[in-house]
Amino acid sequence: MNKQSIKLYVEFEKEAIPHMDDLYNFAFWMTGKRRAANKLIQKTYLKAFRFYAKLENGTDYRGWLFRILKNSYLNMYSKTPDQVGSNQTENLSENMKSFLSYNPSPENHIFFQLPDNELSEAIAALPEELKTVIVLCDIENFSYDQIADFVDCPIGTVRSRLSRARKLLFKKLFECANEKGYISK
Amino acid sequence: MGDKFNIDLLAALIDGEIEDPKIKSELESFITSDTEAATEFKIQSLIKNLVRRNTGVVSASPKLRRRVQKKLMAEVELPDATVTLKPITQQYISYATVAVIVLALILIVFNRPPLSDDYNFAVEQTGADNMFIQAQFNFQALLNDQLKTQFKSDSPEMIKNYFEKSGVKYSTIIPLLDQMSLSGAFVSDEFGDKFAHHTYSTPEGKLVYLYQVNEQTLHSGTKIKLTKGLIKYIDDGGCYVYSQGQTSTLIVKVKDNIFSVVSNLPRIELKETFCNIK
Repeated sequence: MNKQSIKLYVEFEKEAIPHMDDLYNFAFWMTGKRRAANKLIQKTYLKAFRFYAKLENGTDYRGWLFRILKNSYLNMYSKTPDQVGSNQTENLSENMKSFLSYNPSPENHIFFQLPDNELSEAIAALPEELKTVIVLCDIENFSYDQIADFVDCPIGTVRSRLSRARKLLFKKLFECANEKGYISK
Repeated sequence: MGDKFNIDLLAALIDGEIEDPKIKSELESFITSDTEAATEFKIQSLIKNLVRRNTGVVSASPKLRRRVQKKLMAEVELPDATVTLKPITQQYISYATVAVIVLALILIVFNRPPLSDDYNFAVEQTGADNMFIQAQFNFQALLNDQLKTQFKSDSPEMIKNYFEKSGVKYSTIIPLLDQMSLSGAFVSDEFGDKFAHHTYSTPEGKLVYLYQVNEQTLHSGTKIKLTKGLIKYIDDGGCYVYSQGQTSTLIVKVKDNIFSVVSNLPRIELKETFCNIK
């Protein structure tokens, strides 16, 4: 132990630890499990700490931590990327279209009455690339610029993935609500 | 309009990512005039709303925070004694800061005679689970903005309610005092038991921090401690005040609770205010 190490530790705590809740939130929604999220966070912080001394002043610590978290997630949990064909997301059944036209008010919407685990399971079941953008945008409130930087793709791709992710979620939740009898014929 | 590119722009419209007013307006017309666009818009906004509203923020648990701290401290080979100084509030507090403050307190205590009129109980108080040490540490953390109150109120009833709802199992006492106003409260966790802390501020900007523990807990000495001598002294009606620089720490028994009050008020004012509370 030396003074330099303690100083580094204290500085790292001040800069990095306040972002833990945001990081944990992302880790949880990506893995779907607290235990997996816990492991991911520990790994992320250890990695981050080891590289911390090399960072320049003015670094966006939150963005940097998220990148480390993303890489840790990909190393630990990512499977072969699922390809979501456009026909999976573009064609809505007539029932789905009718459902939309007869349910205009979000607050009274059937989807809002589904148990919470249905939504979290639907998000967890999304293909990686779609899950990432929807968690970053709709849960973590990242801007498109930030998401593009995070996933390392153009903004147009972010837009397209978000659009597809939401559509896919809609279809999954519709099927779930239909199976449970929430949707009257 | 109607190709895939523009349909994707509807997601961007909902996400507030379209800055150009001309494009915004074209998209809005598109939605009203094209059935497919209207359907797409409904899906995008429905799902965005649903995810936003129905996915709460999932926070890192205090246990996870401690585990991360331990691992980081192991990286810089901070000694075990420091690692056991757990954060004692629900807010995150650095182990290294705890180590530095405790070490500084011990050095100052041995190198500079305290101004206490009584037996020097302060020098005997050690350990991260010691109420006297915890109170001094928390006060410094509040002053340095490393620790913030979780509940802001100037109402004793609301603060009492907050303590009850937060899981504090003992009856708390929130004195209303002349010359200072209640400002807020927070709750700490020691191995699953919750403890009550609240603060006052004065018109001159002084801070008064009050940490109270039920006397049974202190007598049992299992989760929070004070030395036996100090407990006996206050059980017998004593009011112990220890001053060091601008800060004074006062320990007194009020009904069934032991108060540890730390403040940068003048010592005499602190003593007059708190030693006479019944």
